Amino acid sequence: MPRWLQLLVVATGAYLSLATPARPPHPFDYPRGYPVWLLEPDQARLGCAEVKVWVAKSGKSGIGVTVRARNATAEPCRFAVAAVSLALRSGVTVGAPAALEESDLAPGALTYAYVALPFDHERAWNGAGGRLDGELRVQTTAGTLHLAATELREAAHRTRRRDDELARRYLEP
Amino acid sequence: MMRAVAVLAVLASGCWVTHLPKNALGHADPLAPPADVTVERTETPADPGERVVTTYVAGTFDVGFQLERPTEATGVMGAGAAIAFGWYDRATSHERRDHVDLFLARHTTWGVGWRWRGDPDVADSMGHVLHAEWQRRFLLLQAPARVAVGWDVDVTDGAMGPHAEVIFMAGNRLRVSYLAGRGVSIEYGVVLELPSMAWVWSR
Repeated sequence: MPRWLQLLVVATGAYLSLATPARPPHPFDYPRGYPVWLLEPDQARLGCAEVKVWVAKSGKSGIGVTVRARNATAEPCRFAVAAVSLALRSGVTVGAPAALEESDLAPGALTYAYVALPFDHERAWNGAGGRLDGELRVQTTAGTLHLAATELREAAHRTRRRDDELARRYLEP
Repeated sequence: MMRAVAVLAVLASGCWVTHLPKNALGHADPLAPPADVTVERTETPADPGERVVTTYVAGTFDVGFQLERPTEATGVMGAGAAIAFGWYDRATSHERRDHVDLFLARHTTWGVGWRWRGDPDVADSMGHVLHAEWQRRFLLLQAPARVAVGWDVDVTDGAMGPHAEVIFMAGNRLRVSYLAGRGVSIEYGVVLELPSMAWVWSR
């Protein structure tokens, strides 16, 4: 048998022995992950109100911040968010007044204020090399809250549960 | 020679995907309030898509015949290695379990390679042939396929000419080439090409 035919037989056998196993069912999928904002502290007591703050929207053209206030006293609580501003370490500062008027909160009652901060978020992100640090300032009628704000991408993909039954069997074999 | 093969084997033993942080943010209109202002979480932004750079490493083996002038046909055999790289945009970002799909997407790549080629039964006929080519990758019957056209240069004697090839069913290769002074060669072989590395960043 000529040498080239021997080589052909061996190469063909090696190629045909390659196999690709079918993908088994999996309870999770792993879509793209996005940068997340970490606020510290994200809640505090301001006068009669217990205030919690989170970034509700975040994208290339800016962020939106939600401020939730709960009357933490047994008396009526007069409270309003006056303005929210973000000062990044890179020098970018953006601020906006809140649109909500001052309200009287009954004991235990909640009120929410959403404040949009449009700015060139993508440029700031790229300029910072993949991590933003700064301060989020929430001005209210009861005082000002200073929050250390960090935005980072924790992972390139996030985990999302797709099938609860499969997930239960997967996690508790 | 063996050292080069070892390096290629290491490079081709798996695929690595690097996610760059550039443009990592999604699309979200901050001026529009969230769907439910009471939910304590950041709304998932809309997917802006992504850009992908791919690289490939391949080993090749072919046998065939060469139609020499004026009428004589002789056997020919070749074995070699090749690399390729390309880039493309995706409208939808990939999932982690679909990393291999980054390499299977329809896109254009550019490749260069080396082959040790000739008639093994004829003394001193084996030569070193370099090539550069344009490749178009796609899926054919759910298997990786591609067409390519390019240019061959036999560095042993300087003979050169064009080539065209089609790769189908994941690794079968049919190659037609012409080298000045030697005529047309038609070869069939296998290409063991594995995805090597990809870089991904957001649009």
